[in-house]
Amino acid sequence: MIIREFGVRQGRKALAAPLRRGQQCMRALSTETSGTPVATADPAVEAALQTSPENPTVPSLFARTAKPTRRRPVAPDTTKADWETAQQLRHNLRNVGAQVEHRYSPSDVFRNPPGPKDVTLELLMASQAHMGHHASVWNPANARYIYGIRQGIHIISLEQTAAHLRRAARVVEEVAYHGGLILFVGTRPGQTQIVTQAARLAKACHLFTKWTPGTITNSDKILPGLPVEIVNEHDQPVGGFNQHLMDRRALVPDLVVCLNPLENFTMLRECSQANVPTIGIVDTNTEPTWVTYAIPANDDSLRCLAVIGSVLGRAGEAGQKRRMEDAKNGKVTWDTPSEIKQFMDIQQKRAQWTKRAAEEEAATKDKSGGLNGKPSSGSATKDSEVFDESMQKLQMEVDAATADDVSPQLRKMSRRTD
Amino acid sequence: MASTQRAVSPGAALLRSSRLFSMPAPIAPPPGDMSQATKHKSETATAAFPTHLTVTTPSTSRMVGDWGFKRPLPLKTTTKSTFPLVRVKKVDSIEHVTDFQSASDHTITLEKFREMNLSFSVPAPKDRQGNPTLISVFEESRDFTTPAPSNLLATPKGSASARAIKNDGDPLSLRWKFRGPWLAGMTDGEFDRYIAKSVRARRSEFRQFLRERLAAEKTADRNSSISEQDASTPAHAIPPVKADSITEEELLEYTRGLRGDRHELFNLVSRFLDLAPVSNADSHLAPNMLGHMIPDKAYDLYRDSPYASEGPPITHPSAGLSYLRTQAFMENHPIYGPQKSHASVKARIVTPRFGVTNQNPKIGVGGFIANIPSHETQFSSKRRHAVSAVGSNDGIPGLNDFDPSQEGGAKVYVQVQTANVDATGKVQIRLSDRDLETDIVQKELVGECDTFGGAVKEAAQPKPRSQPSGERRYTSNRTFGSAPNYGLGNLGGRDF
Repeated sequence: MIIREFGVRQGRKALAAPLRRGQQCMRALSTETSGTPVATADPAVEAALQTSPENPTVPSLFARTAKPTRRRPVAPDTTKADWETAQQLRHNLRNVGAQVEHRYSPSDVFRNPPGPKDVTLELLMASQAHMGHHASVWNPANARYIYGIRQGIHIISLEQTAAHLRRAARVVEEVAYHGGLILFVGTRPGQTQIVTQAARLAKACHLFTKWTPGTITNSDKILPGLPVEIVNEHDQPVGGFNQHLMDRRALVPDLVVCLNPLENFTMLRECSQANVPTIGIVDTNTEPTWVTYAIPANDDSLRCLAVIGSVLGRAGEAGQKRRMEDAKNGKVTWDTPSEIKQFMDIQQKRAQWTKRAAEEEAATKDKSGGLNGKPSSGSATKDSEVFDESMQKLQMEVDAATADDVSPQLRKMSRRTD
Repeated sequence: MASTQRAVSPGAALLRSSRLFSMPAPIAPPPGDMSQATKHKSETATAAFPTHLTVTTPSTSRMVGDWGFKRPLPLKTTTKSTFPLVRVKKVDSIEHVTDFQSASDHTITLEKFREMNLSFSVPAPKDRQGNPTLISVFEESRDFTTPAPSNLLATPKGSASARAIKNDGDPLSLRWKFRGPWLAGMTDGEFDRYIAKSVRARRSEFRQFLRERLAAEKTADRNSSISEQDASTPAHAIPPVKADSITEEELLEYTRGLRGDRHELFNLVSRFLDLAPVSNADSHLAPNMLGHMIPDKAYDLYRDSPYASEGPPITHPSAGLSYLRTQAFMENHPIYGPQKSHASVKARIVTPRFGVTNQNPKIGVGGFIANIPSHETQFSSKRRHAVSAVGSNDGIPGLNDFDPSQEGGAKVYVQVQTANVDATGKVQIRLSDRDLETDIVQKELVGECDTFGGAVKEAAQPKPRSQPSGERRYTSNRTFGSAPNYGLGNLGGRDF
């Protein structure tokens, strides 16, 4: 900060007042009078200052007529008191008046997501699940889900929707119970919140942008080197698998839930090629054989999709909860993947071989030492001790990994959140 | 006992009671006018009546586009308007879009119409000028569509009921809905098609109808002759003549007789086909000029039907716009007390009277174009500019000339008399003459003028002292351009 410009910057008034007082003192001391007029910012202040005994002149016309700068009296700030009074009043009147019943809000489905137990025909109808497409664009394979035609559109039978939704919820729950990797896909605009909420509930993955074709069938090129971790049955990360993770292939989901199968035909095709079961919302214009488990419902209404997504998410949540409880009781609901098992076998054997080799070496060393009657060099002993120690550590790690009560599993597929 | 309703699944029962299923099918659009093919017609003009249901939604759902249909409606077009009102033409189309548009036009118009407290009345005959008696369309004598089966059978010519019809008019013609068409409104081709499709196939049925009528006539004749000869025998003791006993020759003779009596034949045919009544009162043919002396005046066709000249309405004559029977209630004003007439309605002068064509001005009342009264009123004044004449305010500014200085177009307060629906489904609102007092009261109520406040202020102020009689107000020798004459007082003390 440039000090010499402070006065200019901060206004004349800040410096003018002490200067004026100083001038008065100076006038009392000195004999000469200063005729220099002093500029002031506030005419009222100036008028007050000019009533000194030395200068009892009448104030200037401007000073007499000028109004003070602050015209209104300063009212005391009662904001806090007012607010407290209002709160008190609201508290006192809390029980007065009609009870406003909460009926429906569009955000209810996100604030309190319905589960498989809450699926009723009323809920499905209120969420427009029964509205199919224009009768002329139908897929005849959906005839068994269709109740009739009204207002030019096909009406999907609510019973069919409810039954298929419950079945799909059961599938999601069991896949989650058995530690499967679930992927929720909804790539239309507006489906982001639905998909992410379902994935959050079911501890699953989500996709709300374009499915890159080949993510499953050509994953070596599309998803190379994405982070993966190995967890035990309590979902805690397990170490010692870095070598395996370096050269393992990308994960493939164990269940895919697709909210808009029409736009994700490629993904469903890849899933079927990779033997991945799929759940899809099938409107009257969609081919139901694209998915493994079809839910006949309206795939255009976000309200319907939100209900279905939250039901499936809640089902997954229930499955995960059951799995974690069983894990606490010592029951593991899944088998270790074969490639991990293989890796662990190899690691175990390698450790055993290393140990045996070390023992044999030690034995030969002892023997030769006894024969020669020469003590082994201290450095060599030290080296072998360090080696043994590290080998034991590794062995302990591998033992821990291969113990009966520990079952490592691949947890995370790389989430595609671009 | 077997129930008549088929048992349905719970989902189907739910669906049947759903709002989507209870949406009525759209009605036919207003019939087009053939002459409009050559006229300029606005694409965006509001249709004469709505054809689709108006749908609304709570504000929270509107914010996410949820209107209860297949897919969310686009927020860009549905969240701008004050009131959430759309009409859905197609819930889903082959282009996978929901076809909808705003329904504010008709819905807000309905709301404005209800604010006017108007009741619908049966249209008055055209030849009766002045203030006709207003009969509500909801009166029991007018609001019926199905005649009693006994009435449908033709009444014998000489019977008491036939005489009653001649005196009081046919009560059946007062209906507003008929099974047959209104012949006067049919084109030639439509008429040919109607004859070929609906009439020709009913020949034998008509013969049977004539037989029954002839039997009834014969019974009446016989009964009257018996009662004349022998009063002791009651007429009803003898069995009536049966239609089966009428021979072919008798029927042929009767038919020949009918061919000579065109009016009777028309009455019979229209009764058989349930034709809507027609009127020949409005035709400008020479006999109509004769007034009472028209030949065959006694056989006038359905003169009592209010819909004979214009055709029956395509809906109920109230069109569902208002269910009031009458406007005979009195409005109360907080200061002035009960009011003689209803509150005036602020109306828009949509089109002023053009100088060249002398076309009647169009006045928009609550979203409808109203008819100005046909008799001499303030609306019929053809003064070019609104000059306040002495003692009257007959000039309505903007009525005869377009006034560009009026912001938002010229407005006028009007008194609405009644409304009715015409044959094309358009609402015809009739205005009565303006009542300036009522206008002022209404203007004061909405804050456009302050009559009462001004009067109170005037009464509260002390009266100015009256000028002394001796002082001259104006000097006789006035000089133009002098200071006193400009109101500056006697500045220089000089007296000019």
